[in-house]
Amino acid sequence: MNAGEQPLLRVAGLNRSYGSRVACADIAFELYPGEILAVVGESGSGKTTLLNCIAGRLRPDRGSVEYDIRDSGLRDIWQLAEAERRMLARTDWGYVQQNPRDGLRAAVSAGANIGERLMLVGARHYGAIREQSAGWMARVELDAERIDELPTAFSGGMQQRLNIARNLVTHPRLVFMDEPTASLDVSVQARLLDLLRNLSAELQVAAVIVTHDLAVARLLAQRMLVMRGGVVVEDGLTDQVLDDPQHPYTQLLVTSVLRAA
Amino acid sequence: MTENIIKINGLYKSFTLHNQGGVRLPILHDVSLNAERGECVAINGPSGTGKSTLLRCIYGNYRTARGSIRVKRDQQWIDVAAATPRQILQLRADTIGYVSQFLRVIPRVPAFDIILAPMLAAGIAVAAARARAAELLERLHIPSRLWTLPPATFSGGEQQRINIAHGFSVTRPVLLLDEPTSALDSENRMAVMQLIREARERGVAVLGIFHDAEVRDAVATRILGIDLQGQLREQ
Repeated sequence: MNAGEQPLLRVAGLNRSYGSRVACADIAFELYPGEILAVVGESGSGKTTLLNCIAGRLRPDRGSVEYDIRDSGLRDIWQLAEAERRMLARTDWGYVQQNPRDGLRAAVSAGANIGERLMLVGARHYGAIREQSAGWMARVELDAERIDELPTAFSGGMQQRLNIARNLVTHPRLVFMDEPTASLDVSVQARLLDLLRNLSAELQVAAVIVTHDLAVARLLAQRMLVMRGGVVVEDGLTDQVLDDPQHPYTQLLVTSVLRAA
Repeated sequence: MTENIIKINGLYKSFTLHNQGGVRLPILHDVSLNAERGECVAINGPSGTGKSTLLRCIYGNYRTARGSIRVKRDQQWIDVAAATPRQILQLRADTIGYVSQFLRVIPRVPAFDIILAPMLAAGIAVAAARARAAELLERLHIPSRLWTLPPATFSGGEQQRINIAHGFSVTRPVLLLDEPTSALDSENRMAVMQLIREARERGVAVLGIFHDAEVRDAVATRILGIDLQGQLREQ
C-alpha cells in the first residue's frame, strides 16, 4: 500500500434519477488498487443504482466515473465508446450478482462458464482454457471433476463460487458485487466470505461491494459508504463507521443489528 | 536517548446519541500526552472515564472531535485525528499495534493463521512467521491441538491470548493494550508481562490499561490517572 499512488476509480458529482425520484445524489469517492469498499444502506437507498452507474451498466444523468485504464490512465468510462466500455467489463472488471444464475450461462458446462471470458479476450487453445477452468474451480473449492456438469447441477452456494471463478479468471483489477451472499444459507455465507477475503488479499483485486449486511462489510471492506435516500450520509474506515457512527441513520443501522454471539 | 513517538495535544471526545434524544456524552476533556520509545504508560482510572476511548482514538477506531494525535512514522508526524483512511491503515500496518479486550472472530480462520496474518502482511518470510507464531502460542500456553482450530469455540481466556499473540506477532513502534490480562490466570499474566518488557526493550512505546494493579505496577514506567471529568494527570 502506497499513499502516493493514484486511484483506480474516481467518482465525482454522480447523479441519477428515475423520473422525479432521485436514486443517487452527488456521489463522490475514490477507490485505490486492492482496496475493498462496502456500500451499505437499506433497500431503495440507491446503492445498486450507484453500482450499476460505476460498472458501466447504467448511464448517470450527471457526474463522472473515471477509471484507470491500463496504458491510458484515468478516463471517464461514460466518455468511452460502447465497445471500449464492454471490453473493460469483460477483461478488467468483474460483476457478481446477488443471484448467481443471473451471472452464469445455464446452457453450458461449469468449465465453459469459466472459460468463456478467456475466449472473449482471445484465448483459443481448448486444452489450456480447460486447464485454467479446472484450476479456478479448485481455487473456489469446487470439485474440478465436475467441470462438464451444467450450473444447474450445483447448489446455490456452489453456483456463486462458480460465478466468482468466472469473473476472476481474467484477473480483473476491479470487481463489483451486488449482495454476493444474500441469496445463500448462513452456513454457506461464511465459506463464501472467507473465500472472497482470501482471494482479494491474494490477487490484490479492488472491489465495490453493495450489501445490507454490516457483518459482511466488517469482514471484507477497509472502507465503507453509508447511503440513505440516494445520499452518502457517512463514509470512512469500516471499523470507525461501525464503532463510532456519527450520523443518526448510521447509529440506527448499527444499533439495530441483533448480535448472535 | 529518548525519542518521542506519540504527541497528543488538547484531545476532546464526546458521543452524541441521535436516537436517544440527542444525548451528548462528553468523555475526554483536553487530554494531552507524550510517549517515548521504550516506555510503558499505564492509563489508570475508574471505569467509564474514557481509558479505552483514548486508545481507540489513537488507533483511529474512534473519530476525534478536537485536538491532535500525532504519531511518528518514518520520521514524519502523522495526525491520526486528521488522517485519511488510507493513512490510518498504513499506520496500523507498520506503526501502531492494538490489542483489544475481545477477539473479533473470523469464521473458519484457524488461530494459527490469525497470528500469522500481520506478519505475512508485513513481509516476514513464512518460515520465520510460523516459528514466531508457534513461540507466542507456546509462551501463552495455548495447547497445540487448538492451533489449527478457529477460536470461535475457545474460552474467553484462550481468545484473549490469541488476541495477544496476534498483537505481539510483529514489532510496531507503538503498542496499545486494552486490559490484556483481564481474563488470564497468573501464569499467563506473567507471560504477558514478559512480552511487554521485551517489546519495551525493542524500543516500543506501550500505552496500556491494566485493571490488575499488580500487573500495572510491574510493567508501567509511568502511570497517568484519568478522572471522571475526562482529564489526564500524572500519578
